[in-house]
Amino acid sequence: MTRASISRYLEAVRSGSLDPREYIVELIPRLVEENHRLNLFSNLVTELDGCAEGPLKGVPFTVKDNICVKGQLTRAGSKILEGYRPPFDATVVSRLKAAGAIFIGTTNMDEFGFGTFSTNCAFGPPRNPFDDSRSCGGSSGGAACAAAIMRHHIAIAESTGGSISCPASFCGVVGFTPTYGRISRYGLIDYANSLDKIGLIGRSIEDIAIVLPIVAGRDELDPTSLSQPQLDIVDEEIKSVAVPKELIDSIPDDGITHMFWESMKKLEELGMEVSKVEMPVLRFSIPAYYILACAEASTNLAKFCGMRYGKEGKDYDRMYNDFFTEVRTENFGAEAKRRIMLGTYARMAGYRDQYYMKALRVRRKIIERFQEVFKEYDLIATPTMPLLPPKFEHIEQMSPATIYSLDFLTVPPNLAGIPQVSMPMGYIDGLPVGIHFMADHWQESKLISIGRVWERQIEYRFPINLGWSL
Amino acid sequence: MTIIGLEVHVQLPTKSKLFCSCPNTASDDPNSLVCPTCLGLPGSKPSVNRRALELACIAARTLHCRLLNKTWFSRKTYFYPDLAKNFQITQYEAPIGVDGFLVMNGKRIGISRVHVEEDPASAVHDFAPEQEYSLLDYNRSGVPLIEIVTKPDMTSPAEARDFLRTMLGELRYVGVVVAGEDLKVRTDANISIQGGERVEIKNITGLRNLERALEFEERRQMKLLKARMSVRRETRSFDEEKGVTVASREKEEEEDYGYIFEPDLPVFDLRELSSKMSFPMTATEKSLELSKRFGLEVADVKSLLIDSKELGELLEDLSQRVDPAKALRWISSVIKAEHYKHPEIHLDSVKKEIERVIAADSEGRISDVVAKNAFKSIFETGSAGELTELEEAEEELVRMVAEILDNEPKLLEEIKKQPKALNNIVGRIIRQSKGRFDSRRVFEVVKSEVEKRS
Repeated sequence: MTRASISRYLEAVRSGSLDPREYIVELIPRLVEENHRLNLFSNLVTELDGCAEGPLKGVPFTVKDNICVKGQLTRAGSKILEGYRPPFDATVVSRLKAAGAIFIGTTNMDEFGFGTFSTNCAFGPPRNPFDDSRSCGGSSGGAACAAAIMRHHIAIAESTGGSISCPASFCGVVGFTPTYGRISRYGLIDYANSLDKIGLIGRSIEDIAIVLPIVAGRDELDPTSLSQPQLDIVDEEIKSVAVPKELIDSIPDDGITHMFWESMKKLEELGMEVSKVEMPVLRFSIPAYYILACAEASTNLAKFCGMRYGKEGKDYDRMYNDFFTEVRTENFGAEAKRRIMLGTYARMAGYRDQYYMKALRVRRKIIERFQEVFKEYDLIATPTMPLLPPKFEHIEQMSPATIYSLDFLTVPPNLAGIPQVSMPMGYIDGLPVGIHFMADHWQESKLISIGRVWERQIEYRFPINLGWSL
Repeated sequence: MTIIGLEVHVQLPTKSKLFCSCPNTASDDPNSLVCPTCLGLPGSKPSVNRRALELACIAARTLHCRLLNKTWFSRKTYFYPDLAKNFQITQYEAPIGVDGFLVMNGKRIGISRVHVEEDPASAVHDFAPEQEYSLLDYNRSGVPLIEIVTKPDMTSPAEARDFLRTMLGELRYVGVVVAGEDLKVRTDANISIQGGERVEIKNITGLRNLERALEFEERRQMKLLKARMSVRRETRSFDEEKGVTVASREKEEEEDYGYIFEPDLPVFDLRELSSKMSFPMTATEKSLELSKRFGLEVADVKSLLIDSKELGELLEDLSQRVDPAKALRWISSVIKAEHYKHPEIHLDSVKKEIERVIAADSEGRISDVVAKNAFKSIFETGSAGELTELEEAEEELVRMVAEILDNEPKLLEEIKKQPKALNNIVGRIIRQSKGRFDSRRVFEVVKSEVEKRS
């Protein structure tokens, strides 16, 4: 049974039949070996922390390279943070550590989250475990890859516009993005603060259901986490699922569309009502998203100027403007520079109303439309990505605009800040295809419920299984 | 005609910084009061200090501003070494208060807005004269500031200084500003003269420098206009040592800060926040109350309250038992001066003695000179000492004068011939009595005693 949940691992630890530290010490050399081929890790620990008594005692976890782990190399996939070791833990990391989980490494990602294929990683792209000539997806590519190759592990990832769902889909694992504000962002190196959501990638919905309540919840250090209602995970009956016409009708891959409608048929057989709905406002999701995300990113990235941390400028005889320009020119990747320019333009006087302010209004409209649909339907579903994991050589030929447009399925729920889960839906040519479920704000429980139903319908395949089978 | 408008930055006296829990205090140890948030480390997030919002509400209300129902923060992005994140969290669309005013000498100066923002780190340029680089101290990074923007309602450098002094006094009275801010307050001043463009002088420290900078700039612009040259629109800075303004190296056009909403912080419901607050009485309100209650001039009381809330409290307390006019007169003059000279003396500890002296004066028992010396003695020794009452003193004075005239007949003759020599005795008596007697009174007594002997 490949879908072994970390709950069995926890039982083994609790009963004393498994020493988690020994287990991980044996696991790490295997990960190092696998990393030579798949390049999923940015940093693997050489020494293990002790593990606290707690509900996750001994469970190994990885974190995306943009989430701070005290004393550990944290670079957000960027050369400009070379050598940076944060002096503090992100809240999600400190909560996991306090629950007994053991940090084992950081996972590769697109620089600052800027990308769909993790090819914008300054330390090379992670490779898909199903076919290492293909992408893991992005930007949390390394995190999804880690979940795909390792048993009894949870990957902490982050999504701004689909960075959890996309790689989860491409790597055939479960990627869970909670409501904006559900998990504290304290310690997350910001991409676009009004869109960034920390989430989880694992091998089953049960793993998500175990870890989510531990990392979610209010945190005084992140004011945007303070307005959340209590998270109660209970089995809810899902009665109805809406499929947005504008999204499903825009998918060019017939194989994916066909598989999706077959899946909807299964849901109908289980007694759910599936309906196509119109959401024309979603047409504006991609431009609105890229304007807002880049506008915020261009301010967030201002702090990287060769002083205080990360890559340092050397030439102190120069004027400040020349000093920081040199450091930024040398150490930011092309996509980071593109987004800084786009974002700066969108918020400049003269363009601000036309782009930034307008995009904010579009986001409001999109949220309102989602809320209308959720008045009538429990969930919304689409395929996660409109294409199979592409080969690196194909990605090289894609223009930035083409790549941005491939996010049209995952961007709308991310722009709206609603929770989403991507789960394996099936396999085409041996490659995983994901299904994407979305629920209204704070309705994570509905996603866990549909996930449990869904996992009874499908057998997941994992190409590599590191760690003991229990 | 000169037109002046100000943007005033004052630090708020909160316990901790605006967006983190680092203490908001001065320290001689650079970079000792810092954390990931005020250093702008990647991954850190701001949390708003509610006390800073409350103090800003008090400031806005004191300046008769309308409080906005909802307020939020924005990011002002510009690259500067003292700015930890290379953006400043400030307020743009929705400040704390708008459309206020301050009445000063019967004139109304408009206040456009009051908003909250974080102070940048401080750059230390002169740590060693031969060095060509600066050091940064992040202790100041994230200290809460309010920025007060006035309308261009002032017409002279002296008026601008007077406005700033009055406004700081009003804010000090309600606890938004602490003593000493007169020297630290940072102001950007806009000044133009009819026929010329507006010039902004950035970052002027203190009250006196504000007036000096504006005076220099006013003269400079007048000279240009007289010579039929144009005054360019530009940003200048004030060189305190040379007392001149110099053109800044920055670009001429307004910088584009590309404001966006601060996405890490929520919108604040100011109506709810302010409804739960108790607003202190302002100096203006209090001076109206005291003047009505004790029959005093409003302007006199207000100028005392603006100088010092403590002295105002002393006035209110004493006026219930002694003549309020006498109390106001002494507190506004000698006691105020002594109070500043001896900041270590707590007014409460000397209140009884002050009351005793003012009571004696109210009853006409002592002279002004005796009272003045008594107040000095209170602040120096804690006690007014034996109060030499008026009649007793008069007798002593007459006795001293008579003694000199009777013992020195030559001197008496001299005075009779040459009245100027009278001053000789006046001086001797003042010296002997160590200033206990009023010189005019001494003069009169000497004159009358000489006349008696002619």
